[in-house]
Amino acid sequence: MNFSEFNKHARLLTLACVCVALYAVINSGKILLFLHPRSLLLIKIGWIVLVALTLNELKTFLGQNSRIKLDWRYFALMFPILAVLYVNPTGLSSRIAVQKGVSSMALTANRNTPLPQCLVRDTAGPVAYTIKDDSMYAQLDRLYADPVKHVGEIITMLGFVAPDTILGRKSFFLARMMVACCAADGMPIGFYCATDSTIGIHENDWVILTGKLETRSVKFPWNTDKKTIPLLKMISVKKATKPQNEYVYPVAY
Amino acid sequence: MQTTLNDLTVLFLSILLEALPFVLLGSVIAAAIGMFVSENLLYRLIPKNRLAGLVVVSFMGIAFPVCDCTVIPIMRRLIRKGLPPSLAIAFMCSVPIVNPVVIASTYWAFAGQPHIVWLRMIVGLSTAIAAGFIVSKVTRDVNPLLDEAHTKMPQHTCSCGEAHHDHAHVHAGCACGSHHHDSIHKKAEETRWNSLSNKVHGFLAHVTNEFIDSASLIVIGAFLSAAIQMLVPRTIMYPVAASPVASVASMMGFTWLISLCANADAFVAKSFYGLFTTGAVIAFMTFGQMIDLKNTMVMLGFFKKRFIVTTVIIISILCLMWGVTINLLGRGA
Repeated sequence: MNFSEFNKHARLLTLACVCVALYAVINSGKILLFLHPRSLLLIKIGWIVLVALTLNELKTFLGQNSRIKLDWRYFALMFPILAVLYVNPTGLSSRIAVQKGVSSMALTANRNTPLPQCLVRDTAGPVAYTIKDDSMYAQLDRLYADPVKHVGEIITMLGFVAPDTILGRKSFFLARMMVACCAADGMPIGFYCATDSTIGIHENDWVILTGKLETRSVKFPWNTDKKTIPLLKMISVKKATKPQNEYVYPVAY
Repeated sequence: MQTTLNDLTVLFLSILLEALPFVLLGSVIAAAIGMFVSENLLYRLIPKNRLAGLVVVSFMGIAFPVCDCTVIPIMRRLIRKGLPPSLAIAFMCSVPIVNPVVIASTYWAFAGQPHIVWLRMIVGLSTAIAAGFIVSKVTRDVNPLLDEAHTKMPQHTCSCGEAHHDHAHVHAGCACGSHHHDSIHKKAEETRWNSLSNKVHGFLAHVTNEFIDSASLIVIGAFLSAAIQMLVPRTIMYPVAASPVASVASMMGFTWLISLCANADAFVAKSFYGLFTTGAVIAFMTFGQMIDLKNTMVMLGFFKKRFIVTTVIIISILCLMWGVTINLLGRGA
């Protein structure tokens, strides 16, 4: 095989590999680790276009006069495929939640977010409800906007444990990553949680936590004045399995 | 180490996969412009008056539901077809900001605050027009394309994968959108473009070229952007959040680095709203869509460095001025 033959092979092989890898990611459901479900249709259409381009390239490949210049671009396109094969990604860790700032909701809550029909009363008596995945953002936004109004409510939420550097020891942040479009724009949302005892849960653990809503006045290092934030005083916690779709979305899909 | 690699891979692939359909769309549109839009048609469509042209091109974004990943291949192809670079810059700046999908996502993210949507549109459109105008004055609309090698390639090595004459002259109308010798065209048309199948093959070959050109550069930009998200915590910007100037500058730098999609950036911007100044949030949502790390990488592959630097500086100054102005007016109010 001479060099120009190798060039033709490289181009066709690159496109074919991209098609196969994309199909594997879509088919395995791993695509939801990276993208909002509404992007699925777009990515499937993209895959069909890529298949068409690959088949078309096959015609060029079989042609007599075609020579294609080999350069770094083919290797660049193979890089993501090698990354998937080598790393086998499993979703974002709590480290990213900390990196993106678990305090952002506390700092930017909006009173104007419309509250959806999402409050599910679990029991009679004191207000108790579960924060549902499909309306988590709107619900939390409202709670953060006026936490005092909700003091005493019993709240249950599924999330992962992220370390907290604001409230100190015996506290953590119960987080979910909210994805508006793709994992790269994901933002941690959830509650600061406080407990009286050291408990057997660790960073990155998925838990179902029930707690009583309290408020605490906190001075963030970068603010001059204190801010009142909601806090869950833990009543019970149990380990849970990571949900099939670990992200929540700002708009129900 | 394994966690770090995992997070980096998720961020990298998510940026890439999110961009993929739009890069393909951009490649299809760019190839279609190359094959089906003649220079004459372009001249007829665009007003002769430069300012009117800038306004028309900027408002075209309202009808283009595409994001920033789509725009640069189209922009390159339009410049190749003879569109003045200043108009292409206005197009690049406005399309990702004023398209209907972006307006809707901004409206939802900032529910109850429609002024943010209006500010984003006004800043986006005015910056696009002003940037195009200044670029026309500064660069005198000299061709900024790097890829003039297309016309200088030796025989049988055209990037479209087809055999062309090596003695290429400037001539419009080639099916591949390039400039080739007239007599060669006639022969080529007789032999190659005589059937629909061959036309489809030629079109798809050009889409493939556009795609490989853009996607390979986006891979690099996406990786750098993911690495930066891993390394730089948001909290480092918080100390300047209340400053009318530094907050705008820091948010512009941040949005350039993280390369968010136009359809999603409003939700991220929302997480800064209330902590950072309004001007900084608006600058985040406009500057980041006009130019970011991922797109800069693509531009580096297509345009001359001098043109890129000039464009980035002009857009940066305009967005900074807008952000600071909003902050000062807001403070006065």
